[in-house]
Parts: sequence; structure tokens; C-alpha cells
Amino acid sequence: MNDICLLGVLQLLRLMRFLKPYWFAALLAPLFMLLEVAMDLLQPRLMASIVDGGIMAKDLDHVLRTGGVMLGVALVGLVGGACCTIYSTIASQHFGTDLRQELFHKIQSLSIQSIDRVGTGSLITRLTSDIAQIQQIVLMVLRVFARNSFQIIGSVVMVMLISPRLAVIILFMIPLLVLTLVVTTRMTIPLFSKVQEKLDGVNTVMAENLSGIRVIKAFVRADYEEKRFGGTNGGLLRASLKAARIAALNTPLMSIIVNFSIVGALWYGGVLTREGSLPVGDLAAFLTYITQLLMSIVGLGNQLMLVSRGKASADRLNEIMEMPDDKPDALTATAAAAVHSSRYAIQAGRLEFQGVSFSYDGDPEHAVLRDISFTAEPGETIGIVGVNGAGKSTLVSLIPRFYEPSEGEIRLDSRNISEIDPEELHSQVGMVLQQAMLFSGTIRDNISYGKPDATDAEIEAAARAAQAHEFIAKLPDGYDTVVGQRGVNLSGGQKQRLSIARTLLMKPKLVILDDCTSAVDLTTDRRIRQSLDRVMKDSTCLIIGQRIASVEHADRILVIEDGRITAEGTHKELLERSRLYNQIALSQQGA
Amino acid sequence: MKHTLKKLGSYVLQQPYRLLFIALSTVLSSALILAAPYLIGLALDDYIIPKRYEGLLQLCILMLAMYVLGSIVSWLQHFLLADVSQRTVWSMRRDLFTHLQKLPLSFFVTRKHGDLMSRTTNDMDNVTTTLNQSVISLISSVIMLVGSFTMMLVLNVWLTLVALVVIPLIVFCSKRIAKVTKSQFKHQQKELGALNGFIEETISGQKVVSLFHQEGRMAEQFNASNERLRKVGTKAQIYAGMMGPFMNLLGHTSYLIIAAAGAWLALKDLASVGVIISFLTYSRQFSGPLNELANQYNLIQAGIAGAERVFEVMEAPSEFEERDGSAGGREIGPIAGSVEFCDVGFQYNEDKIALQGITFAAKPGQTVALVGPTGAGKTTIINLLGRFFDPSEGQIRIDGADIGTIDKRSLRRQLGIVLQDAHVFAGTIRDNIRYGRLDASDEEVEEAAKKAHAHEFIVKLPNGYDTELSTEGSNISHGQRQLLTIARAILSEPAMLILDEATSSVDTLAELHIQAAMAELLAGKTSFVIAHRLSTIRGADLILVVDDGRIVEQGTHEELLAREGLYYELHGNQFQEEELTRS
Repeated sequence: MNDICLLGVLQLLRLMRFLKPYWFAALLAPLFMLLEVAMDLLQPRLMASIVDGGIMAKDLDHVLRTGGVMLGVALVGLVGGACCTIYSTIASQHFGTDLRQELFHKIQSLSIQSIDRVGTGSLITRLTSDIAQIQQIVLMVLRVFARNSFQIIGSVVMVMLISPRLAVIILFMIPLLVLTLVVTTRMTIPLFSKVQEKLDGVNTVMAENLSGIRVIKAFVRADYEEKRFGGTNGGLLRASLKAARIAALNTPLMSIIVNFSIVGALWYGGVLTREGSLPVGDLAAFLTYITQLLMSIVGLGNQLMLVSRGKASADRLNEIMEMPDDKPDALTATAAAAVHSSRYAIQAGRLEFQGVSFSYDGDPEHAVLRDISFTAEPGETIGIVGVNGAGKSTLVSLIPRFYEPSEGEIRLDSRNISEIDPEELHSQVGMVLQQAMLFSGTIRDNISYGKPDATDAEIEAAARAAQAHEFIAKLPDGYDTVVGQRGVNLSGGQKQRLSIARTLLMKPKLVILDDCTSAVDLTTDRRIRQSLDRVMKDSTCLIIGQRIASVEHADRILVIEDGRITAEGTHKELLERSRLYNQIALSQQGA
Repeated sequence: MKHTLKKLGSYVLQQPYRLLFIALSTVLSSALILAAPYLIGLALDDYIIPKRYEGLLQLCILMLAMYVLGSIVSWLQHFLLADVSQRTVWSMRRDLFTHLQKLPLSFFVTRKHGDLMSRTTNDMDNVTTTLNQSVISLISSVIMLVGSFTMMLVLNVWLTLVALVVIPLIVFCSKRIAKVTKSQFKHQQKELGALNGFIEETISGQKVVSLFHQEGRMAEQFNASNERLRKVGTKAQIYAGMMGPFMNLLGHTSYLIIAAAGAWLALKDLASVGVIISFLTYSRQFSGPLNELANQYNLIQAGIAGAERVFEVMEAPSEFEERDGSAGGREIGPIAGSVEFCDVGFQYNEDKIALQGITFAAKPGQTVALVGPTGAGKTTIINLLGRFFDPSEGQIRIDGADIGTIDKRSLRRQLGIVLQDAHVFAGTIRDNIRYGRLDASDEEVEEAAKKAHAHEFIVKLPNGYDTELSTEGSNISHGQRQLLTIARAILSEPAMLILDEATSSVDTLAELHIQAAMAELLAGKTSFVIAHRLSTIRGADLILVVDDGRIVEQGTHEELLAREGLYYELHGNQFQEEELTRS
């Protein structure tokens, strides 16, 4: 259990490197807090002086004079407190901002495979709530935590100054308090991480429920879902209760220790005053400091618990930070491109697969593609046909390097694509994905996504080629129509056409269409193909299609079965040669 | 805010016995805690200052006993408070979830997914944190306030009045700071929402970002938004953080005023030193909780704002409550399957008419195909049939009965609906298919998978039917996901089947198999099919051609071709091509 606490703190500490540029503010904040605490600590001492020198000695002047000093001290304390707030906020906000930025950049540099593995939902949570949590902890440590720590140290020092003999009492008290704190924290930390786990579970069920709400309604499964949720929610309740009940021990245990010390001080102090070695005012001040000590220690205990609860978040952030950069760094790549692009630019668009195999988990037993070899000459159109799960989409995903082949090589204009600068590769390889993904912004923004400085004429031309101009022109705001989050206000076919236009605008040397007209009606589909032939006649084209009609005019068609190319040829040739091709073609005649 | 607090209060009040115990134990523990300074004052006044030491030991032992008792009671109190706050959150979560299941589809369609997610998770978490941390200190603070005040009154009325001088100052300062902070927090929430939206979009669209090599531009946009958030966040936090130091200063000021006044009283022999010292201890206990609350101010603020947003969802009207407040229509048994639309019109909102004058009739056992350009309103017709929305005008009848009078759940149990987006749940493939009929045996699940032509690919997966799927379903292809959702619908043995582009990504070979299985399954049952593929549409008994929210043509394949209208135009292209292929 000790290891858990230690590791948690370590994980948090590793993130503290983001505080480094702001070390000055991060240092000033506790220093100002020290000022505030010092002023706070002076108060009971001044009060003692009022009691002893003023009230006991019946000297009103002394009371007023000391009172004036007290007010001054309080004002200085205010300045300290305010400045601490300002600097701690500056430091923690910068920290959170930088951490978020770093993590965002890191995620951008991850391979699609890593992103798939972690899951986009989880990545989003890490970027949002986990970072917020850590940022909150930094702020807390710089302010409240610092305050309590200083108060504890200060109170101890003041108590020593008042009466070293009386201070012996706290020598008994402090080890007892630390022991209690350590024991309860050790007991509760694993319980709290369990709570966090259960909470994540509850939130996952909630999120899943929201995204599948249509299916749940269609199958009338609300009762089932409620039962499922009831289970996880109940688990969370049980875990929380267990943790909270033990945590509830903390405050009473600590107060009993401190209160025993207070009684001890009162009795022993009484003895000391009888000897005349301790003024009554000092005894009162002593009691005040010791009460202060109690509050600070209880506060510190609670905060320590919060800090260790940040462990889960820190773990999740560090996990991403430590993932290997699968994509070459974008910035250096750009610099490199500037040097090489003139010499090595992709000119023709000749694509070559040489003995390419691939499996998602690296296990050749589970290979999705096996020994794929083919060549697409510049300007050629290659159709790819096969049943669901044959490996068509995986095959084309290797070209923009979403995934790396396990074996074999992919060459573009005779260069291995893994040696081509990614910016150049992506500027010459255009791919339209099966599921159209749009961004919020206008239609214009979406079409010109890859080339933000495109002219209106270019945008319209691309839209026309993708058969999108007609419906865009009919919209009240035309190209300036705002697309909602993920394009909620557009139909599936409209989204697909916009994503085709977005790719066409880039005029890539190699165009890949991954079954991207499934929601487009047939007439439009045909028109898109016709305009592709016209607009992209110099480009190499790979077309994956469910419909034979989408590929039959291709120069060559590859038939993929179980990750292998089993036949290759023109439409006519394949009708004679390939059984599967024949079956697919037949199935589409409605026979 | 008042409303929110009231609702929150009603949740807390659901546990009256625990609350009663808390009240009792709090009064007891506060009395004990409050008695302590009184006894300390007594010890000073009666024993230490007059240097009379007989009885001091007894007094000390009495104090010890009180402290022990006080701690036990305070533990009981914390224990029960934790119970109350945890159970409160638990029942809020339960009610929120249950209510979500009852909300109409329009609620989910009109709201951003990210916003709903953050309400049900982040905001709910905020409420939890606030309840867990602040309610305990809130309750004990209030009791300490009241208790300290009472003790102060008992000790010395005049000093109490002096102590109250600072109260208006405290109220004034906290109100001012709260006002500024609130508006700053609103800004912060807005920027936070914008940034989170951007994050969600970019990460979900990472493939596109990478394809167009826009990482640099996305990073720039992210940094700008991140920077804006930092600026408003810093401002909001600083304002909120000022509450603490100001309260601290006011606490000191009041302490000082009391000390000066006390000293004066002592000089005039109007009060004893012991009383003044006890009084000062109480005044610290009086301002302590105030400071505490001020320091937790932003936490409380976040909790209340969170609760407000959660209650907004919980108060949205349920789809099962009819407009007149009745609990929804009658239950129905198995339906025969005749469907009539009589002049049905529908609009999602006031300025956009989605459907107009939809009239058709399908006899039991018929297959109805809906065709037309994307966005024409085909899916809306389906949505009306399942009562996910209710028509703005006209009537829909199943077996001659207006579906508006039928209980929605009862109606939907009769329908098997397969949606275009092929949603899978996290869990195994087996669980996903079984979702269609929860009591189905493994054999029945496999049977359904075979009919949906999904069995073949499932058994090829390393873990077969036990393969775990993620919600994003990235481990199987879209077409395969569609096959699973079809298997799910087949398993549910619906009286009427509705396929909304359910096979758009399924290869045509598999589709052919599915159709054969369907034909068997649907013998005598009515079905609705939205599809683009001619092969799917051709055999339908009734084809509805939908354009711009209206039915422009209806009839069989041959009739519509003969008319040479929109249907002929839409499908002439594929028709010709298929003729070509055949030749």
C-alpha cells in the first residue's frame, strides 16, 4: 500500500516539469503565503501582549498601540494572501495550458493505431477532465497546502518561543498526529482509487447509453439499461461509503489528540504559572496556537488525500506522454521537406505494393493482408472489390501510413513511402474515408480544409466535381452555411460529397476512394465518377466499391479475398475468370 | 439558483432519519466543542489567575471526558453525513439515468453530444465533489456559527454586539466578489466549452487531420483557444481566490475590534480576563467557518452550476407523458401489420417543414421501399412510424388504430428497426446480438448471426463470438457492424421490420443471403426498407419516391418505370448499367 502512495506522488511529480518555466511565480506564491501565515501567526502573540501588557497591567495605551500594530500586520497579511492567489493562479493556469498543449501535440503525433487502441473517448477525457484535475491540485498545493504547512511549522515555532518547557507537550502530540495521518491515509488511498475506478465505470455506461440511445429506444431496452446502470451505480455507492466512512475517522481522531494536548497544556501551564515562569497571557496564546495547529493538520490531512486522488489522472496523462511518437515530428519534417521537395517531389504517382502483409496485433496468424503485390501506373484507375472484412480498407490505409506494413514495401514513384516526408506524402495522396467526417465551420471551410488559401473558384470547382454544388447552392447561406458539430445538419450523402470535394480540391497525384458514396444515390454516384474521370485524368485512382458499377470502368480491378489478391483484370476478364467477381456482379442484378 | 438549491435540498431530505441523527449528533458535538473554550476560560479565571489549584485537575479530567465524547459524536456525525451525501448523489445519478431513457429523441437530436456528455458526467462529478466536501463543512459551519454566537451572547452581550459590527462588511465584500466572479466564471465556462468541442472534433477526426496534413494548423487553432481559456481562467480564479484573503482580513479586523473592546471592558472591570479570552476563542470559531466557506467558494459555485445543468436535463419533459399529462396510450398485442399514413405533415422546428401531405397505405405482409435523394425525408417517415417524433398534422394508423393512442414502448416492441449508423455497444459480439432478445440462448444467437450472414466473419475472429467490441467499433469494419445490427433485429423477431439503409456498407453478396433469410423471416410481415440499391428495391410491393418532404410518386417498380418520372431518372442510370452488365 505504501508503494501505491509513493508511486502516486511520483507520477504527479513527473508532471511538475511543466511548472518549470513558471518557477518564479510558483516560488513567489508560497513565499507570499508565508508572509500571510507569518502575519497570522503574529496575531496571537500580539494578543498575548494585549492581555499581559494591556489588560492585566490596566494600560489602555498599550492596548491601542498594539492594536494598531495588529491592524497593520493584518493588512500586510492581506497583501500576502492576495499576491499568493495571483501568482499561484498564474502558475497553475500556465501549467495547465502548457500541459494541455503538450498532450494535444503528443496525440497529434500518435499513429492511428495507438489512437485506436486508447480510444478517442478516453483521449478526450484525458485532455479535458484529467488535466483540469491536475491543474486544480497544483493550485491547491501552491495555496492551501502551502498555507497549512507553514501554519503547522509556524505554530510549532511560536509555541517553542513562548515556552520551551510547555512545548514539550507537542513533542508527544506531533508523532501521534503523523502516525494517525499515515495510517488513515494508507487505509483510504486504495479505497479512493477504487472509488475513482467505479466512477469511471459509471461514466462509461452513461456515455455509452447516450451514444446508443436510438437503439435502446428502438428495442425498448430502458429497463435493461436501468438495471445495468443500477449495478454500477450501486457499486460506486458501496465503494464511496466504505472510503468515506474510514475517512470520517480522520478528523475526530486528530482532534482528540490535539484536544488532549490542550488539556495537558492547561494543566501543565497552570503549574508553570504557579511557579511564575509563564505569564497568563502567554498561556492563552499557547492555547490559541495549538488550536491553530489542529485546524491546519486536519486541513493538511484532507488535502493530502485529494493529492493522492490525483494519481489516477496523472497515471493516465503519463501513459500518453510515454507512448512512442509514431509519426515523424511535424515541424522537423516540414523543414526537411523544404530541402528535399524540389528534388524528390512525387511527379507521376506510380504506386507499387511489393509482398505486403499486415496484421493489427503483429501476430502473423491474424494477418489481415497477405503478400499483396500490384502496381498502379500513373493515370491508371484501379478498382478494388471484395466482401466485407476482406481487407480492402486496411489495404488502402497503409498508403497514407495510418498503419505500417508488417512485411513488404509500398513504393510511390519508386520511393519507399516510409522514407517520404509525411507532408509531401499527404499532399500527393488524397483519400476519402468511408465515414465522412466534417468539422464545425462553414461548408467553405470544410471544402478548403486541406488548403485554407483556396480561392472561391477552386472551391466551387471542387464542389461541382463532387456533385455537391447543386445542393450547396440551394442552402439559404450557400457556401457560408455553418456545418454543425460533425455535420449534424447534413444528410449522409451530403457529407460524403463534401468530403469528396475536400479531397479533390487538393488535386492529389493519387486518389483513394474508400467506398465513400454508399449514401449517395445512384445517379449522383455515376456523375461523380464521370467528373472524376475528367478532373483527375492525370492522377492515379484507387476505388473501393460495393457496387460493381463503381469499379467496372476501371483500367484494372483487384479482387480481394481473405486478405489476398485472388484475381486481377478488367471487368470483362474478371467476369470470365473470377468466381467471386461473378457472384458479386450477379448479386447486383437483382436476380 | 434558488430552484436548484431547493431541488438539491429535496434530494438530501429523502433520508429524514439519518438527517435527524445528524442534527442530534451535531447539536451534541457542537455543544461539547463549544463548552471547551468556556471551560478553558473557567480554568483561567477561577484557578490559574487566582492561583488556586485544588480542583484544576478535576476540571481537566472533566474536559478530557468531554473531548472524548465529542470526538465519538463527531465521528458519528461525519459518518452519517458521508452516508447522506453519497446516497444523495447515488439517487440523483439513478434518477438522471432513468429520466434520460424517457426523453424523446428530439431532445438528443437538438443538443450537442458533447454538451450532454459533460452534463451527465462532469457536472454530476462536480455535484458529488461539492456535496462530499462542502456540505459537511457547510452544515458544521452553520452549527458552529450559531453555537459560537450563542456562547458569545451568554458570555458578554456588549462584546457580541461589537463582534457583529463586521458582519455587514463581510456581506458587502462577499457579495461584490461573488458578482464579479460569477460573470468571470461564465466566460471561463464558455471558453472551456469551445476548447472541449474543438478537442472532441479534432481527436475524432484525427484521420482526416493527418490525411490533409493539417496538424500544424490544428495545433495553432488549439493553442489560440487554449490561450484564451488560460486568460479568462486566470481572471476567474484570481477573483474567486480573493474571497479567502479578504475574509481573513475581516476576521482579523473583527478579532482586533473585539480585543480592543475587551481590553477596555477589562480595564473598566466590566468583564473578567477569562471571559475575554473565551470570547476571543469563540469569535475565532465564529470567523473560522466563514473563512472556510469563502475558501471553498469556487468549489461550491461549480457544484451549484453543475446541479443546475443536471436538473435542466432532469426537468426536460419525458416522451411517455402525453401533452395532456396522461401516462401514454394503451398496450397492444401482436399486430397484423397494415399501415396507413393519412395526410401526415411534420416539422422539426417552426421554419423547416420536413414532411408534408404524406399519404399511403400498406397491407399486412407487404414490403414498402422508400427511395429518393438524400435529405428528402425518408428517415423522418420511419421516425414517425416508431413514434420517435409525433406528426404535426395528419394521422398514422397501424391495424386501423391511430398510433398516437398506443403506448410508445408497446408499439416499438412490435417493430424491429435497423439504423444506418450501426451502433454497437461495448461488450462481446454475443452480447451485442443478444441485445435484440435478452433471453435468447447461445444457439439462437448463432442462428440469427447465420441468417444475417455474420456468422462467417465472426468465427474467423480470434475470439469468435466472445470478441470484445468497443463503442467506436474500430476493430471490425462498418459493413460487419451492419451485419451484427441486422442479426440483432432478426433475433428480436419483430412483427414489422424497418431497415434504414441497413445494408449500405454490406457487400452485395452478403446482402443477397440476408435478403433470402429475411424473406423467410418476414413471410406475412410488413416491412419498410430505405435503400439505394436497385436490387433491394425492385421486389418491393410498394415503392414510395420521396423528394423534398413529399411523396412524388408511388407504385410498383414496373409502374414507376412506365411513368418515366423521378424514379426512372434516379434509377435509370443503374438500370442501364445493370442491363449492360447482364449482356
